Amino acid sequence: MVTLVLAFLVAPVLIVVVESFNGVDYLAFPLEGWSLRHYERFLGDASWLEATALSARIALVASAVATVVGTAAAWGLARFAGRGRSAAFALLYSPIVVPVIVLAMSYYFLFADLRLIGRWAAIAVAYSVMGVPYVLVSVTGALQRLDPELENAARTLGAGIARTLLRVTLPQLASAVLAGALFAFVIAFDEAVVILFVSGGDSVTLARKLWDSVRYDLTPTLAVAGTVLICVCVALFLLSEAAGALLGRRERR
Amino acid sequence: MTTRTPAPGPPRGGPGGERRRRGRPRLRRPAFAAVALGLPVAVMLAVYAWPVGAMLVRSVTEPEPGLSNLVRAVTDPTILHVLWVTVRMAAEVAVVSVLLGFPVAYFLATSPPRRARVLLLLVVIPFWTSVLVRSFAWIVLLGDGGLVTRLLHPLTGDGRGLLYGEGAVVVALTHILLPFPVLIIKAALDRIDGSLTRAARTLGAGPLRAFALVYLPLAAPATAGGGVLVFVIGLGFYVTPALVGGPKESTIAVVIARSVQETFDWGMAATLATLLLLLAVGLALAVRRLTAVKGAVAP
Repeated sequence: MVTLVLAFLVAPVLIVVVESFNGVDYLAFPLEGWSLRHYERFLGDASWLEATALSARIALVASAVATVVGTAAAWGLARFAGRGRSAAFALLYSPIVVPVIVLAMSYYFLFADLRLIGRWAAIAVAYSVMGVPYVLVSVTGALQRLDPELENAARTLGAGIARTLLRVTLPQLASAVLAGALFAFVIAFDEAVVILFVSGGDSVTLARKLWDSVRYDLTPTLAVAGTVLICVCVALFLLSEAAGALLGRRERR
Repeated sequence: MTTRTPAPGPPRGGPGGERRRRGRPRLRRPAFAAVALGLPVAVMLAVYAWPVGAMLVRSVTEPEPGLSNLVRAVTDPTILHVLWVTVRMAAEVAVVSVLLGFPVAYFLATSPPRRARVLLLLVVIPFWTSVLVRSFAWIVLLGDGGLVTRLLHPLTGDGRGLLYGEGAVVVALTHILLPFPVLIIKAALDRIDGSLTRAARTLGAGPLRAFALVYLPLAAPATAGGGVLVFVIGLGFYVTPALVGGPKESTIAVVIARSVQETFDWGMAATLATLLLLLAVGLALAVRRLTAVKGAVAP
């Protein structure tokens, strides 16, 4: 029973990868012959490559913004005890709860009013909002395990507040910050709902192009694009696990 | 971070009053913490709360001020039908996900740690894979001539696929959302003290009885929490119903998208979005209560 459920979870992902090596020009499973022709097509098609590059650029910016905002917020929440703390937490955490279609509409209206539809930087900012809660949760967890007396010790020894944070606090949070940043990157890299509303034909990300392709032509080139998405996300996941293990070991010392 | 599930509540701790009295306040300078928190809050107000708030306002101002959209939403039979279909499919997905997810979580929680880590990858890797790609996989599998269609051929007797039907949406959505209950339930089962069931056994309970009366009640809140979470996410899902479902499987999200992009009925779209948002936030708060400490929502 458990084996069946695990197979149910993994098989569709594997099938996309297998399908990308299809030997014919239509979707067929089981495969009718193996070939790399769809990889050649993908790599020879500037529009797929541009879409991949655009996704990466947007995701990088979104992840950077989310990481800075989320990390600062997590530290602030851990050290601030004044009024409005729960309200601040609710605001920072809530994007995880809000249905993506609601966010998509909100940004569509906002971008339409401000003439920002199709501007990649604006899309990146919208995506960073979706990444903030993950960074916040990840860094907050690490802060709870941190001994606050270390900060006090550094301050007593004469370090300024900026220096304390940079040299004492941040290094101990490194793996949590990295995990949050990677997750924020992945969310932005394969986001597929908001982009349908705000890409405006100018900012065709990989997910947007995939969506159009699934809707209108369903070719095996799609499977190649899907495989690229799978590989990027799984590679980042393994990276975050490895980095977490490595940095975690260093932090414990 | 995927295997951890940190707390969704505000982190505890903050300047301790006692400590402040004892010595000079060092780093715990409230002003600096207030800035560290205030700047992110300001950013989020500007790029998140403002657009969402403005969108919500549209539900009562467009096309004219008043509650006309809401009245239309709860009286129009087409929209009521869409609401019903959405709730029904989300509930089906939630029930199936919990029924499939619990045994897996139990198996992972009771496996030796090393094996559990490897098997956990099989849950987490699909979880990290794009929803779009996973929906596409189901189009391949469930379409005419797809693998599942062929395997089911002796049962169904025809070569027509399940694609573009409610069955397809439920199967694909279950596949996409199943990792949530598995990870949440597993996190809860990991914390259950094994000596409790052993004690029940020692006191004369059979294995089934010990499981049903001791283990299950301890696992119940997280299991329910996982189910509600799947239900909430399922309610607002757009990509999968739009790609794998047919016109009869239009969900709230699909209708919202159509109202925005095709019929330009922005007031109605905003009203449906408001209803969806209220439902999601209300249920998310319920999940938080059910799962008490752990951050069910964070993958």
